Amino acid sequence: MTLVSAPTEAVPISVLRTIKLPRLAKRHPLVFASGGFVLLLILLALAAPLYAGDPLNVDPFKRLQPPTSEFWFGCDNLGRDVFARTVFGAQISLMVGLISTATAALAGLLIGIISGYNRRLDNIIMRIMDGLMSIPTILLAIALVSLTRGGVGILIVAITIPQIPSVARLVRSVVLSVRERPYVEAALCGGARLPKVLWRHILPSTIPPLMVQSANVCASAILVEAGLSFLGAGVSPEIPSWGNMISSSRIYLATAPLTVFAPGICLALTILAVNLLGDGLRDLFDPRSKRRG
Amino acid sequence: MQSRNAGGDDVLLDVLDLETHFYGEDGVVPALGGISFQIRSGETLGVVGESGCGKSVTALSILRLLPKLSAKTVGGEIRFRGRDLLKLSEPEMRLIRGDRIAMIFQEPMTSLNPVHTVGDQIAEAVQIHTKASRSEAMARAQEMLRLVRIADPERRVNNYPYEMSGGMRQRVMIAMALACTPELLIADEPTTALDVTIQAQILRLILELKQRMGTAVMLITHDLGVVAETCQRAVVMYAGRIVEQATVRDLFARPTHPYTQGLMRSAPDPRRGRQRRLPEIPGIVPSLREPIAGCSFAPRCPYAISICHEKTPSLRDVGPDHAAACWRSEEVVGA
Repeated sequence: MTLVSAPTEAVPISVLRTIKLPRLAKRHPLVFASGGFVLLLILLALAAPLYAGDPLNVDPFKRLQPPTSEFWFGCDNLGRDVFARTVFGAQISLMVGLISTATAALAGLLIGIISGYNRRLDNIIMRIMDGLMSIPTILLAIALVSLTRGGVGILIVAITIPQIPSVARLVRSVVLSVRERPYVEAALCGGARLPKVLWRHILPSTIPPLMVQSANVCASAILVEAGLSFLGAGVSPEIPSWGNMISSSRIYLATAPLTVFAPGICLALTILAVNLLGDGLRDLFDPRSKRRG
Repeated sequence: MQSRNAGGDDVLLDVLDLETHFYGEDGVVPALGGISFQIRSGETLGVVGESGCGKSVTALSILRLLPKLSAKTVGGEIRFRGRDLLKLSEPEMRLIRGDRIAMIFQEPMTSLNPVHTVGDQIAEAVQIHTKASRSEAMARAQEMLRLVRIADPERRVNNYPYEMSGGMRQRVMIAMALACTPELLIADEPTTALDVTIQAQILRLILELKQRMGTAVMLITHDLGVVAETCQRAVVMYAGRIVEQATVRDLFARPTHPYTQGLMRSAPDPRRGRQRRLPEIPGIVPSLREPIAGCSFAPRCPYAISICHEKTPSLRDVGPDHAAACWRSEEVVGA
């Protein structure tokens, strides 16, 4: 996971307001393509019930059946439709990824802003964050899942917690640099209240780096979810998820390769797209990093 | 002791023995060592001095916007229309900032938030202090832009700061500061970051608007030429103290402190034609970290005698509305 450096110049978020699609496609093809791919994935996952079969239907006669016109990716060891399971698996992967990213981003934003503005709390909060950062995600997840009854909710909590510190640190660094800007002083000079200054003059500057970091967080959240499901600490085995699909089919890799490759390739493509989106957004918000690269 | 004919005059701001300290890792720095001055309603007061002499600290002390952990006003009074600003609560102080005392900064390039339109930012300043609705505030923003002579204000109101030049941004800053018609405008080197032709325009604009609105201006600068052209009275600061204050006419006709004289001599004078080399003041500004015994200018002063190194001189009247902090001012004037 790469930490995004705080931009030294405030990046006008107004960029976002004025984005026009054709121009975006021309100037930032990477953002356009990867963003488009991620959107497509989300739509496909949401619309799964409309076009895919039943992912839970077990049919022993179709065990490890190769692809047919009815079962595009063939069937797995229990005769379940691999295509349907892959598509429904995307629901779990993306849901866990997006919800934990949103939670981590919001929590990190809040903690980062408080920490960046209050020097006394800063010390305490940042030491707690250091502590959180040292917890390995997988271990925390296994511990939480074995202490509770498991489930998607616990999985999301387990994935979110270790991601919060990186976001909080990033936001804090932006707040620390922006709070010294003359326009913040000018706003205070104009008699504005601190909360208002934070909201209007400091928060907007944290959004672009936060978006970039969120893309990174999202990619790693999806990967961690797959890893946990693969290990059996994620969602329960009958629910299709890319991680437990790979896990349950891996011994049939030689006879029915698609049962492993379909979810595997989907996972790889998704993470690639989300990471590229993050990189693209970084270039979009910080033109200097593109020139350097 | 000093010129303080507060009697019939309409005193707007009365600063009395203001002391501000900075707290660094290597001890306390007395950035302001007890300064006193007055600003009358509608007048323009110039505050002159070289970098680090405490001009900006004075401004921030008045607005109580010093960095919280590293600086503190430890003594004195700042009477604004008779009320001591140092005794006000933070919410009371917020009502004064921007509404009755406004400030413009040196750096127009960074004093505007790049993420909001200029109209938005002026409207924000209006809405903080009035009950104006959003659209009323935007209308006021447009009116202010027209007042600071930005062409095509209807369109410019929706511009982002990066779409404007430095001079225009400083005009926007002035519009923002004057949007609530303050009684006192503190201008901290408002033209330093601009090129010379724009400097004159901006100064003229400030003066014209000041006249129209009846605002008093405290103009912080290190440019004596600016003071001569724009101010009625001036205060000369050195090492956190006021060394001389007088009407501008008097200050230039009879500079009474050796430092003021040095400053005037080191300004180029086109009337004298080409000069070989400008005279400079020998030595450097003393560090405020170590306590200074006697007059802080003594080590650099050509007139220094033994008392100058021992006792700190306070401001003494040397004429009507003219005071200097020098042990030998009588002799210095004639020189």
